[in-house]
Amino acid sequence: MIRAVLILGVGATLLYLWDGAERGHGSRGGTALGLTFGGGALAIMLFCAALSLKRRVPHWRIGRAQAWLRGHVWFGLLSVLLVGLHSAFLAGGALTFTLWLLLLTVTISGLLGVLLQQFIPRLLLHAVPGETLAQQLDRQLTNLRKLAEQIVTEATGTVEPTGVGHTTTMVRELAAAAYAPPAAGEVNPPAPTPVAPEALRRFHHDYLVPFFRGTSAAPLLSRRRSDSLFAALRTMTSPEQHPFIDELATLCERRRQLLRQRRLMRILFAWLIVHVPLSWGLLALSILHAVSALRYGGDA
Amino acid sequence: MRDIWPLSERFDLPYIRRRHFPDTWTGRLSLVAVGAALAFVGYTVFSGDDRAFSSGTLTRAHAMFADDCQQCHQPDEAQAGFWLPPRDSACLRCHVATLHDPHQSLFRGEPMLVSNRTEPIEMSGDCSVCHVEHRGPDVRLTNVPDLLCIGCHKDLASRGRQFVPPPHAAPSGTTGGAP
Repeated sequence: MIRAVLILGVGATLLYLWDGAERGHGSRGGTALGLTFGGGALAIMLFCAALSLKRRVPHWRIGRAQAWLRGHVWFGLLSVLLVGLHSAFLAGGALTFTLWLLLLTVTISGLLGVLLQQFIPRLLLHAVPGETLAQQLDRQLTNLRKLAEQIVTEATGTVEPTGVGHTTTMVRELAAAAYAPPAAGEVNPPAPTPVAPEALRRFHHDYLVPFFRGTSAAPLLSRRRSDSLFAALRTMTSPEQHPFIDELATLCERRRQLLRQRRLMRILFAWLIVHVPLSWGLLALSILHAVSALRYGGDA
Repeated sequence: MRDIWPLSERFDLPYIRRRHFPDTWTGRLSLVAVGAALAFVGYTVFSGDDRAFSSGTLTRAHAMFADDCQQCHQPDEAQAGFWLPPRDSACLRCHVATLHDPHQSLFRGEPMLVSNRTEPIEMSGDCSVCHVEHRGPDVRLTNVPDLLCIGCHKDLASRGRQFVPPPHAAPSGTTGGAP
């Protein structure tokens, strides 16, 4: 496909140079060759738009998706050359200038998309080992929240803390104490005293709930802080509760991964917000340009 | 790690029927983009301002027609009124363009009355083939590339014609004499 596009591109450029030399004026959009270039570019734009339609109807079995995507990229690039040859690389009037702006924006955003598609999936492979379908992310995040509640209920009987007071401060102090460097002359710092299952319920209320609800400043969003807080929680709970706490720590890590995937997916697809709408605008204006150019005598 | 049970609750099964990011955005913005294009068409059609469709700036000599396309682009009687090609008659309203040569076979136009003449004179036609407009304000339409002349005037000797050099300067782009 790349070879075919290269041959077409070189052939079109040679024809353009030959036609320009023959005419003396240089080639123009209204000549037979210029109209061929313009028609070719419009046909390629229609083909590129067909990819969007094909994605909406995935059961259409017309060629492989990879071939469609390659054709979209390579023939899309060829269309820029054909438009350049059609217009003799001149901006022209307001409509043709707008068309140039749209074409360049669509092309640059498309190339950015190609670059991101090369880079981000590889990053996802390493950064998110438990990657899921992008469309399932919300459901999986909800599942994790339900699982966390289920685990806390199993471990403590209820998720609601029974006591009152600022256990958040207590947990933080305990975490700080657990990881504080030993004082001079002290070999082993004293272990914090384990407290009742209330600590797990408090931890759920103070840390897990904001984290699973998506609060932006939740401390468990940071892996380092999460490790520190779970280590402190272990020191405050009985060994029978540690398997539950390990499960909770795993859930938190899984949620962090899925959040990372969502961020990367947004970057991966954000360029489409520019590329797709402007492509449809470009196509609509190109058809309008074709009609108006033919209307005014094919000398556009 | 344990998982949600039952299995049917684990996944969002009808997800394929719903629109997700970025389709939720691209769909709406595409409608806006196409709507903007159609609004542009509507504006130009209803306002009668066709300047946006110009393929480039006119020469200084024709700059006064820049906002009045139909001075040059006039309906073709032979076709529907929608088509507005540049008409020779529009050029001949201001310019006298008699035949270049009585024997020429190309670019022959319709006879027309010229001031101070009683008989219609045959005019040259298809002016815009050689004199291409919309190429910028500084382009001189009279500067026709020699290559266009060579298209008809090459190899005159073999056609039994004798070239008589014009009394004025050599054609542009040549060092002297005839092409």
